[in-house]
Amino acid sequence: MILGYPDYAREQRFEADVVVVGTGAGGAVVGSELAQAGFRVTFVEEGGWHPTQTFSAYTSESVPRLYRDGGGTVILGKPPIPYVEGRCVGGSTVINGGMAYRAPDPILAGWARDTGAEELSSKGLEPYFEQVEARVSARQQRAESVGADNKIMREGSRRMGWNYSENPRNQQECVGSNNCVLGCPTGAKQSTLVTFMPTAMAAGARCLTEVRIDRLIIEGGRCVGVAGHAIDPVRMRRGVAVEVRANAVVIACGAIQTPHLLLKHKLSRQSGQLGRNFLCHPNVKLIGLFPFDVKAWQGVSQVGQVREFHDEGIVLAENFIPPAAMATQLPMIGTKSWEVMQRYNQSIVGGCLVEDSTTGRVRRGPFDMATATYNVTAHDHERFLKGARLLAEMWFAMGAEEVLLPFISLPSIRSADELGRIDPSRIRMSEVELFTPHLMGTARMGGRAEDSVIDVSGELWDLPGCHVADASIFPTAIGVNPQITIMAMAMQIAGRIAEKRGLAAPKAA
Amino acid sequence: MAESVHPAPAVAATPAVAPAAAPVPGDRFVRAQAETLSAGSRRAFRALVPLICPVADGPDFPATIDRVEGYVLGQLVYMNPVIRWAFGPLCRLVDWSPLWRLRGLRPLRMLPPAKATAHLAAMMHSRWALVRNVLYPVKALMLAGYYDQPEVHTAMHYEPVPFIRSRVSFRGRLMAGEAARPDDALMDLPEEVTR
Repeated sequence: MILGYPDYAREQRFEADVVVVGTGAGGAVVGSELAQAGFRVTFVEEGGWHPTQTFSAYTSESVPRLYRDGGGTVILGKPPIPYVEGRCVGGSTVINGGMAYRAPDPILAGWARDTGAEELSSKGLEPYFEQVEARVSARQQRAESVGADNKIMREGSRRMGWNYSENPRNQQECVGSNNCVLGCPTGAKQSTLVTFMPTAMAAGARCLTEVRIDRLIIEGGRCVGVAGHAIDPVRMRRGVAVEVRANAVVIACGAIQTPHLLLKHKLSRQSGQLGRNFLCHPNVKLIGLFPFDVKAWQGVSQVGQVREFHDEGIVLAENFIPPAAMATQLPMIGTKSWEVMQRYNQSIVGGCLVEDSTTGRVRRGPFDMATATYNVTAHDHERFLKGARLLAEMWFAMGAEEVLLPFISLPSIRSADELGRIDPSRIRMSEVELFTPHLMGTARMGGRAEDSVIDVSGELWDLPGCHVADASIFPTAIGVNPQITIMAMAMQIAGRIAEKRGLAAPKAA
Repeated sequence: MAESVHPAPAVAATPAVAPAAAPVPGDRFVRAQAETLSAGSRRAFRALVPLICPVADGPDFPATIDRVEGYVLGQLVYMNPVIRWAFGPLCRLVDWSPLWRLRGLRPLRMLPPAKATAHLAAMMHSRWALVRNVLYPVKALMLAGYYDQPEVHTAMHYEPVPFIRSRVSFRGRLMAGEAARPDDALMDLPEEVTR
């Protein structure tokens, strides 16, 4: 059963065994597992339920349905970093690119070592990774879904002698319609909207959509529910109060909204870690212009990644974005923007992802808004520039005529001879335009209350009954797309919750 | 508890209807009331659109400025309260930027278009982050609004709707157990690139 705003005129108080706030990679998995184990599960989702058939190639239709704050979210800092979050049933899994990587073994080994919890090692998480990957059909793309832009990346990597890795993606017969960031219109992308959520519903769960939770219900030192307001979809304002009482509460709102909610109650004082350790895999985006048609909108986004420089924390990849989004990235306006956009079919958008070398913080800011801050380091800055040089070099080797750059003082270059201009001595840190879709670390899992927010079962050290199951639990950045790791850890947490209450977690299908 | 009018979704299946800009039957999405601007902010906004978007030289379609305004105000209502509140004043601030940047006494809307656009381009590349950040939300929303228009897509030879429709059909065949056909493959690179 799915409820929406009109339903709350009739009923505002609900009860469940487990309430899960958020329906993305973490929340949907936890709720689905527990519903299948026999728990009465109620999801609370701030966004709406938008099925596959409603997904559109137009940002005017898709962004209001699927994105938090109309896509206008930004991490403050030097420089500021725009980011995106899903705000819909399925969360960010509905709008992500669908890469399905496990966290690398060395990362997990570090987590296990630092927490003293072997279950966080690659061996400990192996059964959960396998279940998740089977459930979301993580596999490489079929040949017919690969477009010319990805062929440029693949052939360019070969020509440069670089390690190119084909991505596993959560997809079932993906045919490369390339509308990932606005919702997969074919149903191929196996987001939680089309996988774990239907399973949860079939197992008796219900989903309260268009409700924003703004506080926990705490009684006798234990979390016994959540409370918030319905959101009037016409006026975008708070409506009636809604609350859900439950024996167990799972917060899975993402690495910015989760700490924002928990900080209201001044939790995790012993470690002071709540909201800290904010990690975000900052990206720079480049646009390559070629003398021939590429039609990057035909064919799946990001078939593979250049992993040659992964040891340095640099990953290069292609990313399709629709015209409305690409136009906002251009270093020009007016007629000059049209001169570039007319060449949309001859363009590739690519990016350089850099693994975090620092951390930021999420706070409750002015007007009670979630405020994230993050300042890149000189080391990050050097890697952004190196990644941009490498990607531009490859594109020029593949025939690019011009590469538009994310640098205020150097908006474009027209040949490989100009690569030397992409240099830290010429480009200041504050003049780099960054972006990120990956947000992590702000309710870190750990082995001790002194240095973490939650224990390895996912429960807050200082608030029994309250669990977290989203990317905010990562102790460190993982350097790869996070959704599979989120799902695997969420599945593990679901098992712990079930065990605590004397029920077994569901077996693998 | 009374039954909700909203049934649970079926397990995912290949959609029968291709996506389009038109509403899909059964879609319960309710669009929010668009944001409004004060008279002065609206005057500044509408003056800035032809400076930031290629209204004069780009694809010609009816009521361009109205359409961009409709997009921007329709998206703005979903943004956080700070952006919603600040957008109108930012438009006025940008319009009067020649004054506070000590470049002149007249607002942009009273300058020759080429000069006004050059001034805005200089703001985009200013070494001062505050100057760039004043312009960025205005520029980004206007350009997004312009380049989301179907007529502009047609002029760019960007045709996502029929392409997606063809891909929905292709996936339907695969899900029914058929093999891919040669014409299901997407474009190759030119020979001179792969040689």
